[in-house]
Amino acid sequence: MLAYIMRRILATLPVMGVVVVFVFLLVRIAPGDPAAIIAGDYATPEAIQKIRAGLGLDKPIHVQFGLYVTSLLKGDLGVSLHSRLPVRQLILQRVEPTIALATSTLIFAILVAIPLGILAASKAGSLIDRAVMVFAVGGFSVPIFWLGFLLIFVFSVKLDLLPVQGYVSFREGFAPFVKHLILPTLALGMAYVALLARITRASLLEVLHSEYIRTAYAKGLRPASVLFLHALKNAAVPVLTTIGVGFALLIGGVVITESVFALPGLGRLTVDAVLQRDYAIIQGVTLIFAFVYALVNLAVDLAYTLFDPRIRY
Amino acid sequence: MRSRRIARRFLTLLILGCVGSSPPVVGHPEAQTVRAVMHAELKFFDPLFTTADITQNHGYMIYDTLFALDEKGQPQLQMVDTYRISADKLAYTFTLRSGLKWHDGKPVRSADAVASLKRWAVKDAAGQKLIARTASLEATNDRTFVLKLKEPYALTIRALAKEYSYVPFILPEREAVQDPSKPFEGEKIGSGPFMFVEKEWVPGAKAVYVKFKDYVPRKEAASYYAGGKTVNVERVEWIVIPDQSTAVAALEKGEVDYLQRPQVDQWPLLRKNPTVGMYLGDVYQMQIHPNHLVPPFDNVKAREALMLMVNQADYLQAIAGDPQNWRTCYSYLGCKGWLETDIGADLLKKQDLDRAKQLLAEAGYKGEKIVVMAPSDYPTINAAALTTAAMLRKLGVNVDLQTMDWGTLTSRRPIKDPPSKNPAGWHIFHTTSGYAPLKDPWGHANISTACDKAWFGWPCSPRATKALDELADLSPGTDAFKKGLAEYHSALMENIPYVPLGEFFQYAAYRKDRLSHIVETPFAVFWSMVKQ
Repeated sequence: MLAYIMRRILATLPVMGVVVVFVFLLVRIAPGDPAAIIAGDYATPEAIQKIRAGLGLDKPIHVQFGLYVTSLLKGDLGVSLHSRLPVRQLILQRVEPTIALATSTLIFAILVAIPLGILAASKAGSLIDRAVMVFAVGGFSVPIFWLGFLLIFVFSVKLDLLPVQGYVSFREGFAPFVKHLILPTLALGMAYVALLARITRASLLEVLHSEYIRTAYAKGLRPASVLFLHALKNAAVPVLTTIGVGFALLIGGVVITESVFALPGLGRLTVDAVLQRDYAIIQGVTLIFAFVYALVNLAVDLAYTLFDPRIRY
Repeated sequence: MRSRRIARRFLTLLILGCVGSSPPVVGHPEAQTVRAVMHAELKFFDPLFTTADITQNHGYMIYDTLFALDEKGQPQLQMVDTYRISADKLAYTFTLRSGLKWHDGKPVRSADAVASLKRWAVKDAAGQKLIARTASLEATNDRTFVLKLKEPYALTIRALAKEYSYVPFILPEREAVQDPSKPFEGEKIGSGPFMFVEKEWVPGAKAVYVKFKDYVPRKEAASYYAGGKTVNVERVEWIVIPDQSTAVAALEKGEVDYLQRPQVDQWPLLRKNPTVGMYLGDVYQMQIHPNHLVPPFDNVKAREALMLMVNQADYLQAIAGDPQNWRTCYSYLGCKGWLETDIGADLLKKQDLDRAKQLLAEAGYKGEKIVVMAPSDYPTINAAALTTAAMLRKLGVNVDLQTMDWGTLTSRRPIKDPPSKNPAGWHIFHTTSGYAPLKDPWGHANISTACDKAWFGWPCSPRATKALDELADLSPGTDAFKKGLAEYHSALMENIPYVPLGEFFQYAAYRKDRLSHIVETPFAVFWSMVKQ
């Protein structure tokens, strides 16, 4: 198992290499001049050129790439073109809200989606099943930002129950930490819940039609026992896969959610960096996300072994 | 039974504790903190490194200036206690106020002022004009310094009172002697009414300022950027909320106290709220900038066609909606300012599409694509660009409307090649100027007519350039000045460096049940402000 884990981690290195080259080139090919943005609207062309030279952006692209890769190999993600702070420091400053939001969304989605999916599958064809499926379609179709604004309007502005925006670290108090995460989690989690509920239902339905389930019923087991002791475990593998694949959906959604709710996380850092052409941050954050995504998928693959003893690495 | 009641009550309290919120108690430190949503995040701290408004705004928090403009637009003493002008108007002797200190406790000296002005004059247009006429600038003792000119310059004090990029903030000498083409290295220390709390700065999220307890405000009442900068709050937090709707909701709910530049589509909502007050923060002039190097706009007839195409009210309606949010203005130099004049503006005052078509044809336009750049992330400028595209189509122009973000537009703007030779070339872009630069054509980059040294668009008018230079040497208010102003404005109207589209307003919004005594300036200032 350990050897498998090490092999998988090592296998991410060529992936990271491709990401490094791809993102480096993409940000530089895209239109936009960070020096002009930094200099401001009324700067003269000479002032802009001086800034460009100061940032090293006037060097040939292969020289810039060489310098970047050299730093990267030393673990240095570079320095923000705008704030001149190390990218690593900026990421560490902003990672907590993103982890908090992603974790709370994942927990919320699993706790809500799986029971919903089970309910729909166990009552397949009934009104409950249809209601769950309508919810799933709706939840997946509704834009996150729209849902976010609606939640703010209802729960913050009208009912005054929850804050509109911002993030409070759990170190500053558990209650305010939770309060500030509720609405962003709901907004981001809906699409994830919808997706997971559908997959859980579909996977469970397939399993429930299997012969061994019929045998279990024939043996006289209660429906609840059949569902939770036999069917669910066997239906878990596709659900786990969806959780892993859906993580990409989560990362994309985090970007929007953090902007709507003004959470100072990595998503917003990325959006701001893209708009400002802060190459170092774009490159650094993309690398981090790519690496985390690879790790999440590794975790999902390892989790299979918990549910299906036939799977061994 | 009793235990169940107690448990239920406990649970209720726990839930209420999680979801309820309570306002801060008066006198509590929270109550003395102003939370403001500014128009941009603070990234750079050196007000000479970038022209970005947010950095100039940061400058107003932690730095001070030798002179400052009052609400009548007149320069007033600020850090300077007294000054003398020699009889031949060639020597200015300035004496600083006593008791001025840096945030680290050291006294402000005239050497700091001298170094700061020299650094400022390297980059700033008004400063460059001043330094070009300067024979020497030296400190004579710790509180006095002397500026000796080669020739009299009527705008000397006005230049030192400049209110917008680059503001001549006074920095400590150790930072002021550094190269202005790079951000200075060192602590963010000023002598202004607030101190920057660097350890609480979260880039992209929050910037924090606290009251500088050793600041000695002037005794006069605060007036625009001049007068006494008395700080009545303990702390100011600049919070970044990127989404406008969220920012407005946060203001309504009281999570923030102040929005510096809410977007125009939010104003009706804000106006309806009885707890929200709004004041006029700034006035902007929208502009069409044609590329003077590229046909057909290299021909003045094509630029005249643009003028005749425009009905300012149509544009302003598209940009700012309700007529209470804008006014037509046919002056390049702003309306209701000290330089207001509409001499020569006949082409701009009455739309004439037929004549515009004719002029375009006379300029040699034969149906080639005209590239209009439209920044989708700036709603007001985008609205103007879309209106221009629509109006040009009415003239029979083959418009290539290219939508992009502002970052892309600013990277394409410096390209001088025509689009037929370079796909990144352009014919027209739009932008705005705030009220302050409009009133200061000597420092206003957009209006420069210095040909290849001019701003993007590269208008070329030796007549206008000469008239502006000569105007700088005339004393404001005199007949000679009025004549010089008329000549300058006529020259601008003859060349048409850009087409002014009138003025629209930018309001700031605040919780009027919490904040009072706000000084109404384009750069948000937090002195005088009281929070109850």
